[in-house]
Amino acid sequence: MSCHGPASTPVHGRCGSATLAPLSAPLRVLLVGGPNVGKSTLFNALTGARQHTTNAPGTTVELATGTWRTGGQRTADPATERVIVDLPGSYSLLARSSDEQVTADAVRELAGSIVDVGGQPGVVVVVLDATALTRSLYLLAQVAETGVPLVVALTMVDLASKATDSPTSPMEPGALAAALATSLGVPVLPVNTRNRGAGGLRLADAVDAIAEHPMRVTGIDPPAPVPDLVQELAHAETLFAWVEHVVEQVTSCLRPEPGSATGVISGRRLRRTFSDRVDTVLLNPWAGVPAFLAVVWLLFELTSRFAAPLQAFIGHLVNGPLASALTWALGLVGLADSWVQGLLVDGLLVGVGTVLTFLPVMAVMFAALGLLEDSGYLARAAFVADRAMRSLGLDGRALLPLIVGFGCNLPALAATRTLPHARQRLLTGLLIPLTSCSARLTVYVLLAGTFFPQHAGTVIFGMYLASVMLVFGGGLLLRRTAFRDVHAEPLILVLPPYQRPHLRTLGMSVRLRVGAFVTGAGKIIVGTMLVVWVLMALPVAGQHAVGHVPVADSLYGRAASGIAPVLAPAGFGNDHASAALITGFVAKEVVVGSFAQSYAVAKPGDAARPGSLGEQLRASFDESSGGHGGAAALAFMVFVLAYTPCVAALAEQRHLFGWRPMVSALGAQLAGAWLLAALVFQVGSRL
Amino acid sequence: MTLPESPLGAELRVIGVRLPAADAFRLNEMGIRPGTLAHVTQHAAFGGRVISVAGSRYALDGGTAALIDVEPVQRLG
Amino acid sequence: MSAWAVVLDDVTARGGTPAQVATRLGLPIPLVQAVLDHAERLGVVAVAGRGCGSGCPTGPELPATCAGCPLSLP
Repeated sequence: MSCHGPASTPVHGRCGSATLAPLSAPLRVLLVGGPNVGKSTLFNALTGARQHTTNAPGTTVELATGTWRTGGQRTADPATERVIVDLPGSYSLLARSSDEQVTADAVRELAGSIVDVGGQPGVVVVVLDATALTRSLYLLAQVAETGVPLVVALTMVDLASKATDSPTSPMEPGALAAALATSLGVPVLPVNTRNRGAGGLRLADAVDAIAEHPMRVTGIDPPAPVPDLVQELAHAETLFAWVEHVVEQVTSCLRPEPGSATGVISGRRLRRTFSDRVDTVLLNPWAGVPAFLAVVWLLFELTSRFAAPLQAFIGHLVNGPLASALTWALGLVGLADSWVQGLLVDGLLVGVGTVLTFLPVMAVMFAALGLLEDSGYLARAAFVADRAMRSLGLDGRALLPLIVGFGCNLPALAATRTLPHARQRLLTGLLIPLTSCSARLTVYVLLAGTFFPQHAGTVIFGMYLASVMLVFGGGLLLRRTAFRDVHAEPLILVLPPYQRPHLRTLGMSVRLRVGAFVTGAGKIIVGTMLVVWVLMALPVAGQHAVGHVPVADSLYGRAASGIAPVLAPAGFGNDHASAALITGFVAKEVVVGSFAQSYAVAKPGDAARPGSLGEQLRASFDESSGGHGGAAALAFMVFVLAYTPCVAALAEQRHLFGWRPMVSALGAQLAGAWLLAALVFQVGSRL
Repeated sequence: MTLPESPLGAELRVIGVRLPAADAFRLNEMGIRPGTLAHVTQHAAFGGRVISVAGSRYALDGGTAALIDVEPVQRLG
Repeated sequence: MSAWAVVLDDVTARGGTPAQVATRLGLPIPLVQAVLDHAERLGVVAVAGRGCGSGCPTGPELPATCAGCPLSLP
């Protein structure tokens, strides 16, 4: 076929002209196609390990570039090398995202450069998905309009011929490619990326041939410049007329695309899909809730199985090798044992370490939520939980953040963004701190194990029960008072069909959300822990150098002693408890460590308290409660349950809702926790 | 009759939506408006319903479903 | 009239999902989807419910139907 066809508009191509680029310049090949058409698989098959990733200039979009080598040593053909670029998947050259813009720009740039005398030779390989022909042809038309030399690679051919929802008999893969080639007027190569060999060679031949003698796609003319919408619309009309025409030509001899079996979808007969069958179980009035609870249980299992060990590992890493390394480095510059070391190692490093230990939990939570979301189950979960939430004036959507809160309050607060109305978000955000997060569990384990060794499990379960009651109680209270205006919206959800989650998208979204946490709440946590360190380092009594102060003599210790009497009605008015609660304000994970620290660094002159941490705890609690150590311990646990979860949560609340709600919440949390703890102790000590 | 009163698997035509304007608009956008044909695909707890409209599935809570009036579609033969 | 014109006319007058439009007009769904996608890129129609299932839309201006979705993140 000659390049100068009957429709003799200017040809964009180097039809055997004299402007051949020097032979040494490798041919430039651009790989264009939609997302999920098998483009990257093809790219990998053609380049093997000879590829690397770069950024498209001026963007953050990543491109894979590689060398496509054929022929040479073991074959009869001369060795040929081409530079091939895997452009981002695009549905259209009318770009809607930065990825698509990169693709559109690259294609147009190639088109432009070919017109130039001495421009780089190049070919575009347009990847057509045989199972999504219409969409692929639409993109092909746009690429063809730019005038670049092109070749078509046809993927998913085996899937197209295996589709079972059509009355026509299966077609031989080659026949579809032939039909397309006839209709389009350019080479169409079926590519089975599973076996590299033959398909890749034929494609290479076609690409090399087209580089020498570009062909026009039948029926596509380069469009006139389209400065305004009217012309765009007219252009779109011709574009789709062409697509329809080609599909018709090709469809007459092959299995139709899904959804077009008879040309019309029949709304008459309902076809029960796989998703419908699954929903019969998952949305069933009786099975739905247990299924939902099972999913929630799985969520927690994941956290404890993956996140907890990671957290412990990171903690050890930071407090062990990293701390030692930093100390050693400081020693090299003569700062060992100075307050600088204290600031950096015990303040900054510990703060950063704490933030890092949050990362596994956040990542697991976000990944689990993302999986639920992507698979389609999340919508079902919201639907199942809906009724329970209506009593609180919320709807099913609010249950997920609350449940996440039992893992960690931070991602739970972030998850309130999924609620459509500000008042709902605020109400849920105020209830989330009442969910007992996994950090609080560490405190329960210590105290329940120490004071109720035979019934530790039951006591801990009781704390979780108390948490749920607090959430509902608090919710109802708020609904009757400050939140009378919140009413449950109608729940109208689209239930997408269940699908296998896209792991790459999931990975990216987890990375984004965790990153947002680190830059947001992370800074607050580190800052606050630095402040705590400073308070612990400043002496207010005795002759101590800054940074080498026993806790009791520091500003911090004084503060703790000052607060202790306030806690007396709750039975734990001792310095150790108040100090632990102050550190617990920063992060609950620190409470246990604080106890250990404060008992270990008791002033030398004190009547030395012998024994393990447990014994010391019992001793001090018994003392401050007048012999009712158990009740005091319960009261302490209730206080830990109900007061501010951590500074990070406060920071997130401020971030989401503003200063006033955060401050009011803070006040309510402290007052409420105190009241509850006092109540528990007063009643408990009389039983 | 209202949507929750329809049996499972029934084919219906929507004849009225008695929701506030904003919610009715949202339903409208999804294609659920007077004249729409739908199938009841799931009966959930507390009156919640899942309907199929032109291949897509929509879940509605019991309160909302009760405000949607429907009539069964008669099919000949 | 071509598919482009017919689909645009119908969706402008009555709205609905691509599947509903396809049913009404007796056209293959993929074609209707391709037309609507192009129209959306030109800014001629607003397609709500885009991206449900994976990669929900983000940003300050969420499509109206995302408000009903438990998965939308601003």
